[in-house]
Amino acid sequence: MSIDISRQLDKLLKRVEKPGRYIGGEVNSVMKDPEETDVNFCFCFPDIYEIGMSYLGLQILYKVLNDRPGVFCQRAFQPQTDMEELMREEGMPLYTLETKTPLKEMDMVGFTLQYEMSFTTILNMIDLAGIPVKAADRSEDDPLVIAGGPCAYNPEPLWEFIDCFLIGDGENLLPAFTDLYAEMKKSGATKEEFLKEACKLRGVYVPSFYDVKYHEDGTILELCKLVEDAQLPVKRSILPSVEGSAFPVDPIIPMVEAVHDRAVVETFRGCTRGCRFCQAGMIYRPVRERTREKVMELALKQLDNTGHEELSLLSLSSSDHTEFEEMAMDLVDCTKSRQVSLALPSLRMDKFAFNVLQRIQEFKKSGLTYAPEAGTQRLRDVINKGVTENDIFTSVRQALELGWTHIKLYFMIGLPTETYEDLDGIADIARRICDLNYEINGGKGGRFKLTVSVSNFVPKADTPFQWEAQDTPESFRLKHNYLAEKLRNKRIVFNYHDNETSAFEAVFARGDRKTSALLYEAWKLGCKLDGWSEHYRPDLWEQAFMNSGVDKDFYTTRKRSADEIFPWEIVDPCVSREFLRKEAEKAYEAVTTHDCRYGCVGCGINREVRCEKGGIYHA
Amino acid sequence: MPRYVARFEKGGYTKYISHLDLLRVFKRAFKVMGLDIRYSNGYNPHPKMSFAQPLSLGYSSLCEYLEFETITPHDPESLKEDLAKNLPRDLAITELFQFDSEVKTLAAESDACEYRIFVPFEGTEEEFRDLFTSYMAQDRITALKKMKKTKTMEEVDIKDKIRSWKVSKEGDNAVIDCILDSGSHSNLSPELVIKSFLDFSKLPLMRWDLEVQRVQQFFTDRIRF
Repeated sequence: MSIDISRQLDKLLKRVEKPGRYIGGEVNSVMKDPEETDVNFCFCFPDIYEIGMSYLGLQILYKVLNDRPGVFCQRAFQPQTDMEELMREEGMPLYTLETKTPLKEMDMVGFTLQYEMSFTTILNMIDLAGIPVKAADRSEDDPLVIAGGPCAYNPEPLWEFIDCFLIGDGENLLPAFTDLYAEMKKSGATKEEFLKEACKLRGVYVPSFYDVKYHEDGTILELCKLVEDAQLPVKRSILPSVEGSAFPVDPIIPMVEAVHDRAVVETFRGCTRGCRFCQAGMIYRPVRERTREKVMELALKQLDNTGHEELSLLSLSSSDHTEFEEMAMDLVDCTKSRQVSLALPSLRMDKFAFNVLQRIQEFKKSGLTYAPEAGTQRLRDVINKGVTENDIFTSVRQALELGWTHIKLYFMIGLPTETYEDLDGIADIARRICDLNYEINGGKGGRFKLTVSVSNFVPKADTPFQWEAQDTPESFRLKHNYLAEKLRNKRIVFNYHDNETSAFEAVFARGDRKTSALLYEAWKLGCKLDGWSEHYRPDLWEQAFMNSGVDKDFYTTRKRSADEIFPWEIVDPCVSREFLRKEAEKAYEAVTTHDCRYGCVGCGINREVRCEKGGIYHA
Repeated sequence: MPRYVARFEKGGYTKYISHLDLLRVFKRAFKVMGLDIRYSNGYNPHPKMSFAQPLSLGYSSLCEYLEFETITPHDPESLKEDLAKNLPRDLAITELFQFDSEVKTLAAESDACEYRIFVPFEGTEEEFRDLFTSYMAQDRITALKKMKKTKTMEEVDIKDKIRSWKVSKEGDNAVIDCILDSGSHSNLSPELVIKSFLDFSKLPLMRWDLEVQRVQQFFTDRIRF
């Protein structure tokens, strides 16, 4: 530990809010001697402690790395602004929570890329650590800056700042990467020499080993590699099975309350539904399940070890687990006897779900949430959201009859082919649910409340909608106003998202290397923690667009041609482009594709790994 | 009902864990131990556990007390071992004993606390003693205190609430060892001593340059540990 830092830290911590976020030392946090380990790694979450500590991926990788004797994985988060200001004033660099060591002294710092709006915070953390923000400016003495996570599927906006991306499941790839590092460090290899070896590992993308050539109109002419051993495309790393994969049953227990302070078990990875807007549904294929026994074992061990009072399941669609009903009943029984509350997110609201919820909630009925995503059957067919109006109303009726008084509906606007008729559809569903409530709960309608949340569609890389134009901010505004008018009702609460944020998100979701200049400018101007409304500065972002000369519309409102080469094709998600294109064509005709657990739809994932659902790919 | 008291140290960085968070840390530890903590009756049952005196955020301590009740009796020694295993490393249990007493809560019996206040000071011990002696020699030692009921700042005389003091020099710090009133009848926070002393002495220090440690807690005669 650095004595200087700890003495300095003592003075800062007396002047900031919630100093408990900056101290480490939690139960189950790991302590090793950095002098005795080959690889000193710092896991960085580009948001504040309370958010980062709620993220399961951190706990998984922390365990995976620290289970290796030669590796010491520590943690760092973005400090809240009061703390950051003091750190900068006092010249104190970002440090690891475990040993209070400056990040600059690590072998590697690794960022998780969970959402585009965290990108400026990454730059900020690198800078706060005293590490040059641009990879090209770093020396042999600086740590290797790496990154992974869902946003790494389009890594290009960050290409200037990250030395190396790890793409796909991290459980096997990350330790393979650190092992290779340890071996080469012993033999005195330079960072460059190491990266030239590492880029042979599946899932490793080193941006400086590639070049991108552009047409005059700004679209891509060619992606090429500059180093022989670099892979093009870089195939994502895929864990063949999650049943036996590392899972933390003794996670770190924060002393300061995190956003989610609960035990979590990932029941399966991947999704078979094939919603056309959903990136997670594509990039986490194939579906890999944990058995019901394994889920129970992990849940019980975790509850035993942590004393958590809440247990939640994690997956893209809880009810889709093969043994879901049996599993849910087991969990209801075991959580009840332990006085632990059970959360079952993303449930399909069928008869079984109501039975389970009745047993879990008994007296306390919290709200029920539905995500039809679109207002008409036609548009739901376009996006391949397999929900019918009948599903919704049958289920809402049952909920009201059982005494639920708060229903939430999620929709997206700005979806491909959307018209105002589809917006009318949203208003219509809301109105009919209110009517249903009067019918069931009598003339005055009881304490009923309906929340309608509308988010702006952001086309994402590696989805069937990757070719689509995003709505203009002006169009979003008109649609919000239109809906606000239509949903004027004392029973209805109408929420919608900020339009500008959606546009910035869209730029980076499908951005190329040129957008890194925008990111750099925005950070230089002071943007960080953009996901927080109190920190988000649209004026600075507008300024950043001007300064960087990045053309927003080129990335947001431009429809791409069918044969355009995309920046993210440097990475291969292992779902074929032909499949995505076919899905896009079907979308235009409002033709649905069935859930692939009932027969393979040919996404191509089985070329790379066995698909438990029996995938067959016909090229 | 079996009733216990755990004495513990708040060391290292755990001084930055707030009162409420600390309560959660213990609650969590008891849960992992599977200890049958007694819960209050009523609509929102809460575990029967409480600290003798809350400790200000940023203070370390050699002597904190947590009392708690269980449904069935336990062996204090094994409770102590088990609890120690389930706490963050810088919260050290120094003692755990059965507490058979008529008193309602330890908090209600709190009488005084002893603190060590570490003041960065370049001069000699004698110089500091002179300084502090003249501070204590004032007719009234006034400090601004936020009133609980009216929420306004009012001037109070804290002199009588400082029961004893001595000073020494340890390394770069002058150390004030003092015993201050504590509890519902009369209470003095070290913050008021620090504030009024810094004002009086004109030492070029900010509040955050000083460290405070609680060393001991004293209770009324009704408590015999």
